[in-house]
Amino acid sequence: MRTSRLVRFEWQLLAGDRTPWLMVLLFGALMAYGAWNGLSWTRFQERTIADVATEESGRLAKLDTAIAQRAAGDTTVRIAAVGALGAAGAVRYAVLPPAALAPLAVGSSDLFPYYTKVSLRSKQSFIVNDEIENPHNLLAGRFDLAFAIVFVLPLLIMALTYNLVSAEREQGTMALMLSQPVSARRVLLLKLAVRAGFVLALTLALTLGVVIGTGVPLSMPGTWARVLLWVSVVVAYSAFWIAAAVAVNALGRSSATNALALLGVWLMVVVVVPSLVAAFVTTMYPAPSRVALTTELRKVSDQAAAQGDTAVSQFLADHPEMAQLGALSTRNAWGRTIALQERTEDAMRPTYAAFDAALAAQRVAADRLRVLSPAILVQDALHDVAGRSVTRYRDYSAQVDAFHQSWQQYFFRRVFAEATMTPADFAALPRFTYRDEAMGALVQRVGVAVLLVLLPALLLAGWGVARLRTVSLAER
Amino acid sequence: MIVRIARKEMTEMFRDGRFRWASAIVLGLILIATLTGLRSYRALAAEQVAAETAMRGFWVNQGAKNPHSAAHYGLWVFKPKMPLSFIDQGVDPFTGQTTWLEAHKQNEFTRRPAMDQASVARFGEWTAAAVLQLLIPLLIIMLAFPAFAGERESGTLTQLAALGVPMPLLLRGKALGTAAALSVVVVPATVLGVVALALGSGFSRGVDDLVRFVAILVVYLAYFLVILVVTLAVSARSRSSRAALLILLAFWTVNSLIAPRAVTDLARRVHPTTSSFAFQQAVTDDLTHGIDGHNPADTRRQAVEAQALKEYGVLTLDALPVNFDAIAMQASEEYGNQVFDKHFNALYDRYRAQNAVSQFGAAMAPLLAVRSLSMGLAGTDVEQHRHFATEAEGYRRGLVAFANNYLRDNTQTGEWDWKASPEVWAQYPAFSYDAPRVASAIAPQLRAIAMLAGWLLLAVIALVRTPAFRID
Repeated sequence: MRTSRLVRFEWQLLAGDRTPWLMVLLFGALMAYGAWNGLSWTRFQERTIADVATEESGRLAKLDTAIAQRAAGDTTVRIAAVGALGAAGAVRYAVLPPAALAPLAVGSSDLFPYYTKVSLRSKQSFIVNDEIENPHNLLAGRFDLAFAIVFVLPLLIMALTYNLVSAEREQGTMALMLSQPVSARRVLLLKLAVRAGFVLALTLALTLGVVIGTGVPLSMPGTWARVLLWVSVVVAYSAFWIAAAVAVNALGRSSATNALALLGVWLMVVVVVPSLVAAFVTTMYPAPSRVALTTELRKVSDQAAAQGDTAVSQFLADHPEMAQLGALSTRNAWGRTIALQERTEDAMRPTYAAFDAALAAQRVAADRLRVLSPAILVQDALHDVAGRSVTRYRDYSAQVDAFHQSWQQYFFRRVFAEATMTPADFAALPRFTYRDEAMGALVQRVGVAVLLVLLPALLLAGWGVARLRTVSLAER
Repeated sequence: MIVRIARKEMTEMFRDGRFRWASAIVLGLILIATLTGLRSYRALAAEQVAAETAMRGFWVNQGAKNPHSAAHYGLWVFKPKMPLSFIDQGVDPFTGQTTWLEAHKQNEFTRRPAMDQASVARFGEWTAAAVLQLLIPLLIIMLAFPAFAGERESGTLTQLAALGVPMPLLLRGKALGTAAALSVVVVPATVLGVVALALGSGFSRGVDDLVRFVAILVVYLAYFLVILVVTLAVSARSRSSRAALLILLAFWTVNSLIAPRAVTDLARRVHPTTSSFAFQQAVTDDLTHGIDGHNPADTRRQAVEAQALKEYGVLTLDALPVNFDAIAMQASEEYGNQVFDKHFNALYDRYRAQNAVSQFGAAMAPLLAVRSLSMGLAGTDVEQHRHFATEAEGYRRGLVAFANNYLRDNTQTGEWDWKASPEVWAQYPAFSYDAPRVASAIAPQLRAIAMLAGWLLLAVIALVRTPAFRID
C-alpha cells in the first residue's frame, strides 16, 4: 500500500475523532494565556523603563542647563558638589531592555532587576533593586508560554500517542491490520509519524501565532535566528516525548499501562527530578549568606570609619593614582567619604570573592545535574532564547559592574581634584548601553541543550523501533 | 459489614507490592525533606540570632555621636525563621530577609534568598509540604482509582450488588480501608513531625507551635480525605478503571501544577501592583508635597514652630529651653510615617487581595486552600511577613523618636556638633520579635478554611448519600 494512502487514512482517523480537537483547543488556550501573561509582563517592564528614562532625562536636562548657566558666569545658579552629583544628582540608570522574544517567557526575570541606578557609592548600595511583587506570586511562578511547553505539551503528545499498538489490539483490529500486505511496524510508525506531525505542526503554528500576535520585532537583527532556536528546542523536546511514547508502545502492554507508564515518566522528568536536583544543589552547595554579608559589611565599614584619618591615608597609600590628584584636605568631605568607602571595599573584596565563588560552585553543580531531566534543559534553554535567563542577567550584571567602575573613575578623579562640573565634563558623563551577547554563544548553549535532549530521545526511539520488530503484535 | 469491607480493601493494598514500595518511597521522601528542612531551619535560625546580636552590638557600641547621626546609622534587622518552616517554608525564599532601619525612611525588605539559587529551584523546593501537597494525593489516586471501576471490570461489583450490599456502605467501607492503609504513611510522618518540632525549636514559643502543628495536620488530613473521596467518586462513576485513572490524573495535574500558576497570573490581573519605581516616586511625592497636596513642607514647619513656642510659653526659638531642630525633625518623621503607612498598607492590602483570588481559586483546585493554610499556619506566608515588617517598622520609628527626643532634651537649637555620650545607645531596648499566636494567623485564612470545609462537606455528603452509581 502506498505511504500517502496510509497517511491519509490515519489522518482521517485522527481528524474524525473529537478528543484530539478538544485537546488542541485546550492546549491552544493555555498557550495563548501564557503568551498573554508574558506580553503583559514585557509591556509592564517597558513602561517602567520609559518612566525611568523620563525621570533621568528630566533631571539631567535641568542639570545641563544649570551647568551651562554657571559656565556662562551666572553665579546665582547653585550646583551640587561633584561628589553629590555622582552619588545622586547626575546618576544614570543602567537598563536591561527586554529581548526580542521577551513575551515568550517570564522565566527568572520576575526575580532580577532590569534597571539599576548606578552611583559612585559602593555596588552593595544600589544593586538591591527588587521589583515589587507579591512573594506568593513569586513562589507559584508565572504561567508563561515556556511553562505551557515544558509542562503541558508532553501531556498533549502522550494523549495522542499512548495507545498506538494497544488500541489496535484492544479493538480487535490488529488481526485485520496484520492481514494487509504491509508490514505492521510500518503502519505503526506511520501512525506515529502522522500524530507527531500533527503535534509539531500545531505547536509550530501556535508558536508562530504567538510570535506575530505578541508583536515580536521580526525586523530586528537576530530575531529570526532566535525564533529558529526556540522552535528547535520545542521540536527536540517534542521528539523526546514522542520517543518515550514509541518506547512505551513497544513494551506491548495494555493502553492503561501505557498511559500510566508515560505519566510516570512525565512526573519524574517534570516534577520529581527537577525538585530533587534543586534540593540536592541547595543542600550540598548552599547559597552563601546575604545575612552574614550584611553584618560583615557593617563591621568593616565601622572599622574604617573608626580609623578615620588613618583609613584615609592608608587608602591614599594603597592608591597612588588617587593620591597624585589631590592632597585630600579635611574640607574635601566627599573625597574622605570616598576614601573610607573604598577602604571598606578593599577590605571586603575577599568576602565578596568567597561569596561569588560559592554561588559559582552552586551554578556549576546545577548545570551538571540538569542533564538528568530534559524538562530542566528545555526550560533553561527557552528562558535563554527569550532573554529571560539567569545567564542574561549575569551578563547584564557584569556590564553594570564595568559601567560602575567607569562611573567611579570619572567622579573619583574630579572629587579628589576638587573640580567643578563644566559643560564639557557634563557631556562626557559615562553612559550605559546593554550589549546583548554575540548570537554564537547563545546558539552554542542552546545547541548543547538540544543535543542533550535529543540524545535520550534517540536512544528511546532506537530501542523502541528495534523492539517493535520483535514484539508480538498479535493478540495474546 | 463496613469493617469487613474496609479490612478486605486494606489487606488487598498491603498485599500489593506496588503499594508497599510507593508508601516506602513517599515516607522516605518525607523523611529526607523533613531532615533537610530541619537542618536549614536550625542553620538559618542560628545565623539570624548571630546577625541580630552583632547588629545590636554595632548599635550599642557606636561611640559618642550626635543622636541624629546615630539615627542615620540605624541598624539592620533580620527576619527570624519560624519553627514550623521545616514543614513548609512558604514564601520565605521570596521575601527579603532583612531591612535597614534608618532615619526618615521606611525601607523595603531586600535580599531574597531565591535570587541566589540556581534557576532549577523554581521548579519547586523539596519540602515536607511539597510531598504532602503533591505526592500523597498521587499515592491516594494510585491506591483508590480501581476501587469500583476495577470491581466493575472484573464483574464482582454486579455480584456484590446481587448479594444486596448497599453501594453507599461499600463506598464508606472502601474509604475506611484506604484511609487505614494510608495511615502507614501518615502516622509515622506525624510522629516524625512532632520529633522534628521538638528538636528544632524545642517548643521555645510554648504550646503555640504545637497547636499550629496540630492545625496543619488537620488541614492535610482533611485534604487527603477530599482527594480520597474524589477518587472513589470518580471510580464509582467511570466506565473503566483506565478512564477513572485518566480523569483523576488530569484533576491532579490541574490541581497541583496548572491552577497555582494560572490563578497567580489571574490575581495579578485583577489586582495589579505598581512598579517599584512608581511606588518610590509616589512616596517621595507625598513626602515633599504633603498627603493632600496642599500642605508643603515650609508651612508645616511653621506650624510646628508656633506649636512649640506656645507649648513652652516663649516668643522666639532662641528662648526655647530645648532643641527645636529635633522637634521639627520628629514632626517631619511623624508626617513621613503617615505617608509610609498609606503606601505600604495599600501595597500589602493589594497582596492580600491577590491572595484572596488565589484562595477563591480553591473552589476549582482544593490545593490552593491547603497551600494557603499550610503556610499560614507554619508562619511562612505573606501575612506573617507583613506582621514582621510592621513590627520592624515600629521599632525603627521608636528608635528615631528616641534619638530625636534625646537631642531635643539635651541640646539647644542648632547644636549639630554636640555628641551624646557612648552609653546612651544601650538605653533604647534591643529589637525582639514576638510572632503572632495561631489565632491571628488563622484570621486571614477564613476564605481558605471555608473553601476546604466546602470540599470536605461535599466529600462527606458523597460518602453518606451516594447518588447514581454505575454498577454494570
